[in-house]
Amino acid sequence: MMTDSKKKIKPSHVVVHILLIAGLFIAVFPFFWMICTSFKTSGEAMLIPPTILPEHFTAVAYATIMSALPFAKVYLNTIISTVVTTVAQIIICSMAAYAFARIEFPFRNAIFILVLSVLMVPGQIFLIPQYMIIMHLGLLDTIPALFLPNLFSAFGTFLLRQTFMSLPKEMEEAAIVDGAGRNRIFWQIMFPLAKPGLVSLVIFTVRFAWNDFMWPLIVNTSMDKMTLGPALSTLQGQYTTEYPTQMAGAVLAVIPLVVVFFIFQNQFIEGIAHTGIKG
Amino acid sequence: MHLLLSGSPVREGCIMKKAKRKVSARQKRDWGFAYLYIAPLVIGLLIFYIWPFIQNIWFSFNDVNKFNMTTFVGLENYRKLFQDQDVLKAFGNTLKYVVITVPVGLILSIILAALLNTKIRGKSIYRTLYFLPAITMSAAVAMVWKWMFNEQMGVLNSALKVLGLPTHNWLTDSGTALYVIMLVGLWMSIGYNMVILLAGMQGISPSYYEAAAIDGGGAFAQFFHITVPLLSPTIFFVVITSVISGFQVFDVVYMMIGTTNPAFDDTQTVVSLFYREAFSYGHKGYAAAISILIFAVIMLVTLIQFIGQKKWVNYDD
Amino acid sequence: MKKFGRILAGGLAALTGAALLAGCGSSQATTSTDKASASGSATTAAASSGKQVSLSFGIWDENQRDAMQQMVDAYEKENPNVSITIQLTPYKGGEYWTKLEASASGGTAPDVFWINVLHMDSYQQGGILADLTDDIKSSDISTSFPETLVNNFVRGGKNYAVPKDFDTNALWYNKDLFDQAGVAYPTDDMSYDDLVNLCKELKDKLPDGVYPFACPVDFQTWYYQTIYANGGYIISQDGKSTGYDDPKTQEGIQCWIDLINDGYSPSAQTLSETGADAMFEGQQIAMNFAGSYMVPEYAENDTIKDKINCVEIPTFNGKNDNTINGLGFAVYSKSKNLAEAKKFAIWLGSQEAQDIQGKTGVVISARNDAQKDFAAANSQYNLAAYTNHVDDAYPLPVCVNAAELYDAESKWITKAYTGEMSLADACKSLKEEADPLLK
Repeated sequence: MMTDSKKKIKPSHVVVHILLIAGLFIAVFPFFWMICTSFKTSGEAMLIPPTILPEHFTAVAYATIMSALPFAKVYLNTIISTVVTTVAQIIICSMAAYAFARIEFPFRNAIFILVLSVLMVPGQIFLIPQYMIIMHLGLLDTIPALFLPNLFSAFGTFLLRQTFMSLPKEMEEAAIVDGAGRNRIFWQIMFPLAKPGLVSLVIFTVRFAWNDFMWPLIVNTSMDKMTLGPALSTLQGQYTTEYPTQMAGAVLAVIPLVVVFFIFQNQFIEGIAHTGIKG
Repeated sequence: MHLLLSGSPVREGCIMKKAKRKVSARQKRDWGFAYLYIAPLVIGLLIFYIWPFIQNIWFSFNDVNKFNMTTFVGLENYRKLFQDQDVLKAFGNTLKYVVITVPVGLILSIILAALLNTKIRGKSIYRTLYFLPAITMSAAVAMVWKWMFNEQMGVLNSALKVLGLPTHNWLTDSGTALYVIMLVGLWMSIGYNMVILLAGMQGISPSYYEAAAIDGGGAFAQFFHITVPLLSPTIFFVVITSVISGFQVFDVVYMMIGTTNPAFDDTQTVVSLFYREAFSYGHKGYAAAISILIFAVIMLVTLIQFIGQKKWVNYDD
Repeated sequence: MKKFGRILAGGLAALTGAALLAGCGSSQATTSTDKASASGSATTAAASSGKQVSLSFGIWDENQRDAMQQMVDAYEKENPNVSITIQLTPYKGGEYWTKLEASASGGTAPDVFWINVLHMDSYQQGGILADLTDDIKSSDISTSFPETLVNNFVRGGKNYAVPKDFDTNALWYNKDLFDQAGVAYPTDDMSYDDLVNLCKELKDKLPDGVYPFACPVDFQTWYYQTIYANGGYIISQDGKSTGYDDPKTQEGIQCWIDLINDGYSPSAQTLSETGADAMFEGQQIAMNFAGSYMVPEYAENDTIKDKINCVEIPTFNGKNDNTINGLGFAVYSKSKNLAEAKKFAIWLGSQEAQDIQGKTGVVISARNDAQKDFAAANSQYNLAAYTNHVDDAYPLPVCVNAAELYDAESKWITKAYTGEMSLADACKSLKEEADPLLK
């Protein structure tokens, strides 16, 4: 199938393809299995040996979940929370990261260590104190509560600092010589150059915000202020052995991100791949 | 300390020395600008992360019940910490996880990124599919993996049976359970690390490779003499964050290993231990002490890496 | 130098400003709680004069949301000044308790909430539970519920919750598998030895890979029943030591390990992964013990629902044996509408409320006159097996560190089930670890 090309096929490429396809199997099989199981009956899901494709195709697992949740509302909340978190992190982290990477200022390293140290604390310790802060702000059970603590990311700042540090200095120095202000240098020159790092951060933040699980459950109470993952988990308790229902829940949680990724994959990948940095 | 972190050409400009020098108006403006730019982040972190952490330090010297009522106990929690066999065991498991997953994950994601950065056919399809695990919910994914590795009804054992190979109780054998968890952890992280590394590789100017091609360097020589050194800031980032997240591994263990699992002892990580003490048993003071120990260990390991980076990380000078 | 100092001061000001903001948070806290308690006392006063009161009601089981909503609707109809919102947080990963503890620390816990015996002591000692002694005394609760269940929620002579429901255990069997094997079904009057004989008879007649029975490491549904029937104990009368070293306790555990060793049950490894319920629903075991809370799930499983039935747990040592555990309705001690919350909680123990709950068939209502509702709602099964010997059933042992005790127990007992160590050795280590937890 690769012989139609006029180019000769390097044997090394064949090996590479075999390795890549083998790896691909591991990468993709869980998704395949998740989707197949979600369309089985619970009896079929427990057969030994298991069937691969559903023998009696049924979408009853999806109907069960859909009827139990205010789905449109929950999706909307998840989207709002994800978008706000991502946009805010891009702005807040890139500004700070640029300052840490490119400007020498008093206490720079001490402050940067402080920022980094946040990464080193097990995230679970923040759960209760952050709940208290949100409560004191009078924001319990509101949409802003979903994203407020997540707007500030030590990880994002570190990621973008590394990006800025690896960017060439020439353009920036030329602009300084031309008398351009730091503000302009950042927004017009450095920010666009950091695009690959920004795309990596977007991907990370979208995944994090979309999948945030414990925090929404703790801070919000009403189902119409809940996000997708936690909302699905409230249903799981009652279907402990209903594997198709559990898998359908997983599919519903994962698929929107996969679809978004497929639609925007060019922007994502191209954002990383062709940024016009030519040293 | 500043020496460890600085990567900029002005690194000699140590703060104390500079203070004695005359500060130019330009520099002064830069300082104000820098403080303005880091202010939103620093203020947000202080309120939502650093202040809670300071509170946590205070908790570690107290007996704290489920409802945050405190009784001062001095160093009692720390004394208990260093006598607790479970802590030792959990650190052992966690260390094993880090020591295996970090290098394996790094090597696999660099290889993948390098392959996908070549002119190989169908690379955009590969890229997209390899990236899929990176955007999925760990809770959902852990469930699927648990189901696939199930001894009775799992697809893996069924496949082994068809092939005439012996089956195994992967998740309940203390010899294999932790490795299954590592596999799931790697599965989730490789796609993302691949993207970061790919982004870094794209930042390398083609002129380096062109020069190397003229010199007659082969693909492997190019990889080790150009790609790896120029990618080192990104590799450094991936290593640092993988080590930190390796020390904090929890979700997958929590979702896949129950308390009656015979492999329970051999899969519990330090954060599992923290979570159990804080949220199941309500020993928040003791849990705080555990979290401080985790923090200290990660801090130490990270500092060592920052010191070590001078030897191998090249920033653009 | 001066300029540098000024800039430095500016930087510090930014940082201290941030710290002050953080400080602001806490000072704001006191004002907002002041406000809350002020308005709280205002509404308490309002409540008695029949003004609008809203209460929150914390639960964790989606299966029971309907039942709870029906109870709330009925109460709101009788008390038009009260509106009640249900707050559901899942139990599974401990989210329910994490959230309850966070909100209780902050003064915003639900006014009325479900509590179980496992959390009773720590919540009572934390001062979270309102004292309901007088309210229960002036109702018919103490005479209309099994004494064990009322006492589950009594500490230091005071009542802290109204019993909600209870769960006991029964022996379930798959009629299809018995028919195929040509073996007679289990009966209500079996003993442990009869169960073993039944396993022996089934063993070679069942299809490949199907086991007669299952013995997972499960205290409530398996070994506590036999430990107590055998005269063993988990926690001593004075509450100061554990009874794992008692030979009678160990016999009550060993009887299940024997069934695994004889090949009548899947291994402990297999059961820890797949679960006895999942294997029973997957028709991989012919008989299983199951708590009453499993009935709705069994009854909705299309694969097995028409093939199964249940009988009483076999006797052990000549005694009826069953464990009984139950939930209660507790009232948050710092509720802003304490009087109204207590009134609602007491009503939840009324015949009317308990009947509404029982008729949904999801749980066994705790109240004596509503217990029969459960069997009536699922009349296709012999559910009287769950309620026939409630008076002889054993409550679960409790202590402040109950969660830790149960974890230590399952850790060590598992080692005995898998054969990693002998039961006597496992129990010795377990006792060493568990005794300090009782202090």
